[in-house]
Amino acid sequence: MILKIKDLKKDYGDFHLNWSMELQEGMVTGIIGANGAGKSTLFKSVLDLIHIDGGSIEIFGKTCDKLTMKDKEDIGVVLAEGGFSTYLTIGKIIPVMRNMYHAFNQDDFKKKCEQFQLPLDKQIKDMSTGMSAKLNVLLAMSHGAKLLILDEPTAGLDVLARGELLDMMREYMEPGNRSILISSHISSDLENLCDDLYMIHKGEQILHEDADTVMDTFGILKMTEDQYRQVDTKKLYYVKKEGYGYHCITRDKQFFIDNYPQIILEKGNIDEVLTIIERGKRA
Amino acid sequence: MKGLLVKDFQLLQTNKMTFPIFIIIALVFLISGDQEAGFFVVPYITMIFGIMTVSTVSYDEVDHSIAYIMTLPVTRKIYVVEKYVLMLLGTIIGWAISFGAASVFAVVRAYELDWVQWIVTTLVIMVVMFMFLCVMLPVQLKFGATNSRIVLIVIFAIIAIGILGIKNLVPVGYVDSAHMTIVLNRIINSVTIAGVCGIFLVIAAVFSLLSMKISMGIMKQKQF
Repeated sequence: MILKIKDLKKDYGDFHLNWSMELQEGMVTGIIGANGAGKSTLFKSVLDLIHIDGGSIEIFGKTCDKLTMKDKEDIGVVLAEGGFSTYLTIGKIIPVMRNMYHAFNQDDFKKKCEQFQLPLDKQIKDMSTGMSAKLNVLLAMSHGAKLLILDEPTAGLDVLARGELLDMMREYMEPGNRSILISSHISSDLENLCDDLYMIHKGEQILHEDADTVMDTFGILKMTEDQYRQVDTKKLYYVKKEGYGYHCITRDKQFFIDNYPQIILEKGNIDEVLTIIERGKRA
Repeated sequence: MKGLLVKDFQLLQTNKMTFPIFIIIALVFLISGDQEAGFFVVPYITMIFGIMTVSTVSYDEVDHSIAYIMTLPVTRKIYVVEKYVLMLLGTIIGWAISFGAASVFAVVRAYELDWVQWIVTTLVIMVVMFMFLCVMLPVQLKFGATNSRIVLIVIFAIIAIGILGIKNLVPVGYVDSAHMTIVLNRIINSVTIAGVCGIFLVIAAVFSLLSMKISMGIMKQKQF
């Protein structure tokens, strides 16, 4: 087991994170949720950047305080906020990485920088959002880490750049003994990359499925007000009021197919599900 | 730790235009000053170099860089130890440059220097400067770059008021200065200069270790 989180608890005032998950070797696991859902709190907890209020986190079978420097060399990280000092240039970061990681491949890193048109002599603060996002991912992948922990690595990137980075991640997984934990609020990034997906909303885990079958779990019902009044609301998961009626999520599609064939039932996609959850309310 | 030191040296290099300015100011003092100028230049340059090293904490704070640093192969403890090593290197390099420059001037201008006194005094200055940095660093780690300035002003104000307070509390004439001088001379005469320096170094080492322990405690509690 590469990563195991059991009953993790972290409270910030009204926000409560309550999380359990596992990440197996050779797998890419995605965490999807809206901004403020708790993704970064989860990642910071895993990385021991914040103190947790309960539960346990194990990386490579060890709790965070037992991780050796060698273990930490096997972890590559991208944070949603934060990287090397923005006063540094890539040229100045290279000797730092060389002295931090035994497996840092300087030539390969320089080649990748050239490929992504990242100048070695420009301060990070003068780079575009896209350039610094690419740099952060390249740095995380530059030392052959067994585990990549990537919090919103594609944030601020255009479609082309996102595609390039996602391709790089697929390539990174080729040796077979590597794992990635990645978060995003852009579902399409994760749908095609991940083996399994977790959905997070207000600190709670609302879904964990294989990426291929994730949308088979949920059905989206589109109902008029009259239809909504007639249905068994116990079978609804989330409800969002619309101008003309209701959009609802159900986990029991078969029940509605059998009992309410007149109600429109769509497979939907992750973005639609997230929108109803975010803007609607629990049924 | 080597990686962190390299990072901080790289950060300090971004300030490379500032160093020559301070060196020029020091040279102006040495050129225009007399024999006493060296006693200003050594603490001045040593302090500048030392403060520069502490300023790397501010660089780490900008744009949440410190959170990222903690995901690298370092621990909170290593981060603190590295800052003290950097501060020590900074003060030693600052002392060496300023001592070297002032000594060259002394030789060229044929000042009559008591070399032992000159070396010992400037070394003591260097250690005092390092102890001052040992106060600065935990304050900066705890309160951040902006607030730490205010906290430091308050700390030194309290120390100054404390000294003044003690002075005023002691009744006039209670301390016999002539007697004090005799006592002090007796102490100084009974111990060698090496002994005094040794005691001073032990005090400085204990003070530094205490400061480092406090800094480690602060870092342990920090959340990023």
